[in-house]
Amino acid sequence: MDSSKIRNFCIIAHIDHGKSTLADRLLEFTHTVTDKQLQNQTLDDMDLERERGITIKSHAIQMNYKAKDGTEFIFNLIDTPGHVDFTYEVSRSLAACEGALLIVDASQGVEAQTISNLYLAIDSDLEIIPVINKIDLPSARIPEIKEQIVDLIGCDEDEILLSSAKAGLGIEEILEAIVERVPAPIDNSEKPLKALIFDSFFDVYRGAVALVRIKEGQLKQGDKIKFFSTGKQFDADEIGILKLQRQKSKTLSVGNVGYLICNIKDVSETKVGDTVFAAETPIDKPLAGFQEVKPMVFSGLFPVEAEDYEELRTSIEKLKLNDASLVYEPETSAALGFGFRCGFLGLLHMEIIQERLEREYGMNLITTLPSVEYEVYLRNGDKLAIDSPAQLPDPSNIDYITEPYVKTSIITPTEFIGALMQLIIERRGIYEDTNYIDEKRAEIKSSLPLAEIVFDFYDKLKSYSRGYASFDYEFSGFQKSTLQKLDIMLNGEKVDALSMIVHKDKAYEWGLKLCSKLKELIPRQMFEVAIQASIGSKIISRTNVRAMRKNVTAKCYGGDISRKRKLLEKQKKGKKRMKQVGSVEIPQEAFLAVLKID
Amino acid sequence: MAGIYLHIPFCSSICQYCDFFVTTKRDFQMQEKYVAAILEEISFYANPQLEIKTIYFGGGTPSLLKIEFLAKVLEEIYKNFKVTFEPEITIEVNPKEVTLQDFLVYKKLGINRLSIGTQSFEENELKFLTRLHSSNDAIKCFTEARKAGFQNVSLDLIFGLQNQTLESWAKSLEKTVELNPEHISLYGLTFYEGTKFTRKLEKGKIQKLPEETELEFYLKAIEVLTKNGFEHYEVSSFAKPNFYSKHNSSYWNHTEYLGVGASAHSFFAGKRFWNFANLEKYFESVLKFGNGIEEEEKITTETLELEKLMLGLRQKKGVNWNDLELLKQIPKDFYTIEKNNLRLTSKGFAMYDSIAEKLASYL
Repeated sequence: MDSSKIRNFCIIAHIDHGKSTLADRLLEFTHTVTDKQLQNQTLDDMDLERERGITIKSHAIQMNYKAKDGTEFIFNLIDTPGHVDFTYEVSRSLAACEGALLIVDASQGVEAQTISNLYLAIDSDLEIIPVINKIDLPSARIPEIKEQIVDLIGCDEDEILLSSAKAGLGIEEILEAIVERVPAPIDNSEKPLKALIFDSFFDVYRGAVALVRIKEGQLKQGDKIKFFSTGKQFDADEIGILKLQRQKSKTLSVGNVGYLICNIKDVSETKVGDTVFAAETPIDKPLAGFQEVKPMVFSGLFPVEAEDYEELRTSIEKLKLNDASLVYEPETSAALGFGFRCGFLGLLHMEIIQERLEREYGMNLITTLPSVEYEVYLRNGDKLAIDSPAQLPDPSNIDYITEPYVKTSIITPTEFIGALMQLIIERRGIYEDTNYIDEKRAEIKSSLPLAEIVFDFYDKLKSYSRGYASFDYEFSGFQKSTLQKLDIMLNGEKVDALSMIVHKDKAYEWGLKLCSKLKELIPRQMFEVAIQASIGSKIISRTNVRAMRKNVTAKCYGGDISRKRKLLEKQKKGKKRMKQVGSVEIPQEAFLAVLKID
Repeated sequence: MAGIYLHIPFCSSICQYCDFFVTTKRDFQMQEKYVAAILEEISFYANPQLEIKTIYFGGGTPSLLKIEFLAKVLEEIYKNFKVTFEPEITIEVNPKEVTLQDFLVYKKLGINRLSIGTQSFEENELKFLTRLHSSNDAIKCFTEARKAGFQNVSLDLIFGLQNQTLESWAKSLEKTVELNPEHISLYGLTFYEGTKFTRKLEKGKIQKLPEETELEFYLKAIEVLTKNGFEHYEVSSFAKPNFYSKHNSSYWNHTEYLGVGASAHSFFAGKRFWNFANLEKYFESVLKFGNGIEEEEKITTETLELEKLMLGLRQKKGVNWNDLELLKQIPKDFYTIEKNNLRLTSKGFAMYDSIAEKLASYL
């Protein structure tokens, strides 16, 4: 295979700007899929992805394209996850490409996520082909959007392509631009093998499947290969290219993209960003950019019914096979029993894992308040990393605590700048800078504690900007902070699963809000329930749920015992979903309530 | 040993709070057809060895059933089962819709217990309940029952009506005590799904009383009635000594019973089963299979245990309970426990659903 006839590219776009539809059109135009095979949004194959309209994990697909001049090309379209939680995966996907299509919605314009991924692409020296999509929308603002793009990437206006993926407009122009503008991979075929793993997933029958880009040399079926980060050796049992299905081949030559299967049981062996090399030609240096992924957000996952603990373990283990970034360890809560403390790349990742456990594995879960990882410096000089309020040592032993901060970029219509500044301040953020993208839109840069965006920041952002602002963040480091543990007591008993670490200035407010939210959610019971929030031994807020006085079904005759009994059985089941703390029954929603506090 | 329940769905008009299976179609042809189906069912279950101790005509308004039909039904029961000596035979009647003459005939037929749908002795409350009778009709009905020689009469009372006050409720109770029946069934007004009352409630046309007020009424009734010699033997039932409803008690104590007629429920041979609550389907089923059964369920040991708890707690006699630790989750003034015999107090009865739920979840 002549590497000069290969084009590797990806698509950068904000959610809903038409990435998947465009991908479909490219596949259609190149006859990679037939109409019949073409499900909408071919590249997203998980239900969850389709529902959320986002691509979670990268995929790749190969197309054969006969250019206008008759030359035949191989195109590898590498799909990238579109969310901030997966920045690292995105960067590795980009590293497998030479070019990127930058898709911008003709009516909505550039969004924060587009920008952050665009910067990643520029950092990886990709050739950017700007495309304005959805030009057939009545609300299309082509001249303005062109200006935005010119400002953003410094291209000429006439380099910008116009398309409507939905209507099939401008598709051939895009394909031709890929041929002309995206550089061919460098021909390093004489060098020893170096292949970049840009994605890996789990196949029930074949185990870990690594998607690789051959950077140097070539990969042959049967080769003895090694992974640089682990040093472990395997046989390349099967290699091939990625069409709609996997297609076996004997070799993968330099510049090409394909898959590698070597009888590996889980994806933590095939790490994204790792370098594959041939055992007989060891290499000194791996390909640049490999990182071990690090969880940023932590939360406890508990089965609603205690007896489902083992099933939960098995389910998490299975998910882990397919998701190297998920970390977990057993956790015990006085209120919730046995469960797992899990670490996630970010909030979306957390939600996806929870949803997959519930939907695909049928688990019934209680999720505790997400937490970030804090660094606790003790008076005796020790340093602890904690990711749950329960792990916080006695305050008298603490010298100080640091918490993770993130750099955020918010893109918003200018009219909402004031409101969003307010939001940043409310969330203990430090405003840094505002750049005007054009007359109507600006990018606000700020620094925020990660813990403050873990709670409903995104929802707030949307409501403060009537849905228009978009946002992106990246970890920037730890900073010293005055943090305290806020506890909730029900009838005098501490409920560990409701504890949280809060900033001193916010403790009182949170205490108040938590108490009133719990009052709403805890049903009336036989006893009065006193709800208290405390910091240390100091009660900062209290309220109560009145006792129920009368609850009786009057008649139980006419012989219809079944109806009453079935009702009782239902209630009995409902009770099982309640958690008992002392004499108080807490519905599981209460544990989630803390997430939904305004 | 078993009981037989006969569901007679005929009513002159439908009370807006009622959720029993009833129909206002009650002409001769309909009665004839319906009774024929009942007779068919009775012969379907025929078992000359089975001792029948209680027979209950419930409804609906069984007193609307023509005497000849009533007689036929009883005759059929006697023909097909071994009815014991002095069985308890009850019929539900509505004031104003039954005469002294009827009572005398009932007596002759061997019916020895009456359940009168008095509900209240306050005119505005009866009106609110969309009852057809007045307070005086109710009193007259009771007096005539006595005249006819009925020594076992039950009255129904409903509390928790909008505009009902503690005074008006006390007056109804006083009147009841004055009449001195052997048995009283006392219901808190319940808004059942699908009833007109529930729709009115949802539309805001009628109101529910506050929980505290309902509790006050309930406790008042218990106080007044027990002071006057009634035993509070079940959540909603009061009786003079030896006048518990034997038939209803069989529901609560897992004595077998056969239910015939549309919507009737049975508990027999380890199963619960129930008839179609729809005349067409009921008739069709009886025609095809000889019975009106819509569905049945097997009562497993586990289910039985749950039912025993659920039904035992409703009764004065209570249940056997060993888990003292769990009782700590129930306020002390809701129960008494003596030698593992757990019984609910008056306040406990008022919270029966919550307590049953709590205990059931630990079975």
